[in-house]
Amino acid sequence: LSKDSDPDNAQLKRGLEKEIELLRRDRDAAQLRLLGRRLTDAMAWRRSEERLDDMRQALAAAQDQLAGTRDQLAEARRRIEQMEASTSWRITAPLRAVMRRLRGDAGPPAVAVATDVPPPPVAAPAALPTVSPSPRLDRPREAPPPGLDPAEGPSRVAVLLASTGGALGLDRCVASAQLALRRAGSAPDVALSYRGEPPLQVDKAVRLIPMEDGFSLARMQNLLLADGFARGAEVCVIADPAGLFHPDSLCALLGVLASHHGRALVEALRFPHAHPKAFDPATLETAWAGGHCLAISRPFFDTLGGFDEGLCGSRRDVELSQRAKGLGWPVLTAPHALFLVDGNGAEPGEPAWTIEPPAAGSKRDSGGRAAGVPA
Amino acid sequence: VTAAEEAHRRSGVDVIVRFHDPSRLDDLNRAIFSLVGQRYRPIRILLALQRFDAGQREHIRAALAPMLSWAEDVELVVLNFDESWPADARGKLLDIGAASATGRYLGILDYDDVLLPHAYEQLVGRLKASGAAVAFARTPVVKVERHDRFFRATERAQPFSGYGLCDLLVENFCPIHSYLLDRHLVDPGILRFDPDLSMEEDYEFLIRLCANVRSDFALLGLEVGFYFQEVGREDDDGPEAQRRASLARAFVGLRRSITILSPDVQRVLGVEEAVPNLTVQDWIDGVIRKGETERMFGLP
Repeated sequence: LSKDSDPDNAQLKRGLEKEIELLRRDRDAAQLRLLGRRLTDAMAWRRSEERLDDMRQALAAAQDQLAGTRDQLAEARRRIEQMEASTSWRITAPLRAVMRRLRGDAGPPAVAVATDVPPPPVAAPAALPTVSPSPRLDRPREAPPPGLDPAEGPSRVAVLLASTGGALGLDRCVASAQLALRRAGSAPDVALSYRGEPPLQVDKAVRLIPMEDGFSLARMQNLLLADGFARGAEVCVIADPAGLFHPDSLCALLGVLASHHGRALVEALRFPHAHPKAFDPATLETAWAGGHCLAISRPFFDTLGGFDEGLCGSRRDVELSQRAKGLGWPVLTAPHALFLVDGNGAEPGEPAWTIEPPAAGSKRDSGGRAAGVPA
Repeated sequence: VTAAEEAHRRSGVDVIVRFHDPSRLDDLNRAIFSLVGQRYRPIRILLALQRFDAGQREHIRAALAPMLSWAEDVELVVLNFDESWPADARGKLLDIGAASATGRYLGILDYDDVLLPHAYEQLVGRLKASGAAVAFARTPVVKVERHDRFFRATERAQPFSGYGLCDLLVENFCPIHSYLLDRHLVDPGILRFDPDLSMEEDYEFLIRLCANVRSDFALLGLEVGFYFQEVGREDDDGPEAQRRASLARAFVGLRRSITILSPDVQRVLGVEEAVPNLTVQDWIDGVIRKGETERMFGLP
């Protein structure tokens, strides 16, 4: 092998080197496996040590508790003996016998235990989780807003959906709205406006309102609002038909509206992609209320009307909010009213986490306001 | 086997949701709402509970029932881990969830995080298009303040930096709900979680998984959910937590040292000719050595 120039020797050497390399790798792999076993063993040992420690601590606690109980028992016996040896106990013995007969007791208890002896301490149970009532689901419902008490009528809240076509999961949105309405104590009153062909697979209980092809979304929403209030609703919740209502969302939304006696504009929280605009966690006030899910009360509609039909997108919502603020009506977010919005929820060009509202008033094409909107 | 079960086996998503603290039922409710809101169907929620008694389980079922009542093709399966050990059963909860999965796809969502409605639709689409066994997307961190009965988001960030498999093998940058895997392409032996680990349990799994099967990172630019971090609720940094973290790091280090990269994965990592018994750590060491050599010779 010393003659590397010999081709046979060189080939043999290469073969041996390869074999040595393979052996080294096998050895390394075996060492790694050994290391793995050692770590597993170490963890198992540590675990058993920890369990042993736990058991020792539990034993010490139990022994302490037993000693305490024995002391209490000795004290109780001492007091019983004192009591039984007392003159008053002996004098009242016939009276106690009569009382037992009157109660129908079979016989006197073997040992009378003084009632002022505290019960022995009970060992604390293992740290198992305990169920506390859900602060959201199990709390008493918020008081219904004025005019919304279920006793006053079954159909005082209406959910209004304006579909401009292409809304996925319309049936799911309707079903979630109906459930949320029922949980809010209202009849499942849902109206859906649409353009073109009527949507398929929508619950028969939904009130379908066809619209002309040229109508804008704002126009459709205003007509829906007018229809909803004309049919006796005290509050109309206008929402994106591609979204989903959390079962408790309307209850929460109406609760916030009720706390302002209906004189506010309240949006549900866009979920999971919360809108980057902020709201005050104490007052719930926000820069403007988004149209993804918006509660509009009858007093609001009577005073301020609906959306500006000359605006589109979030400008429409901003303008409505500004009008409300102009009259001193608060614009609020109901943060515990979750309304799930499909897609990523963000509008094109939406900035990340800013509180400034987009400018209202721009892109107004006709300068006109919706019917019923004061100039 | 019913038609629904067959459909689930063929194309359903099983999602494991771990839950251990009954006082956080609101958080769980929010997470489940985000699952009910998924465009993709069918979905089966494997709710893995840590030592809940029958009354507590019933309470949770009742709390979640309304939103499941109208959600077609969404099923809730409640699993309960009853044994006293391990005390922190995070790894074990994943394990019992994975063992109960029957659908083709498997995802995980912690009870305090959420998914966006398009998450599973996009991830399943990517798995089908790429033929990979696991597809990753992005789940930014959203910092939230906890108030009475609600959260308020204050900030969104993307603190996890990574661009693909190479980065993942070196350090975990993929939150537990940022990926979905195709069970048909994963050896059942890999699909288990170490019950002893209460930290890095998901990363330990990812190392074994991604060393063996093909992974896809094409959707890293797409947000599919949010990782909520509560402001003022810092991670436990006490001695016990540090001990556990140190043990978990050692375990993960050892896992890298004994996990062999499959020839398919080696090719993806740029190893021209597959090396037998090449471990994840061998590959990392090789990359570091190569980098040092290149720096030494001033190579780009």
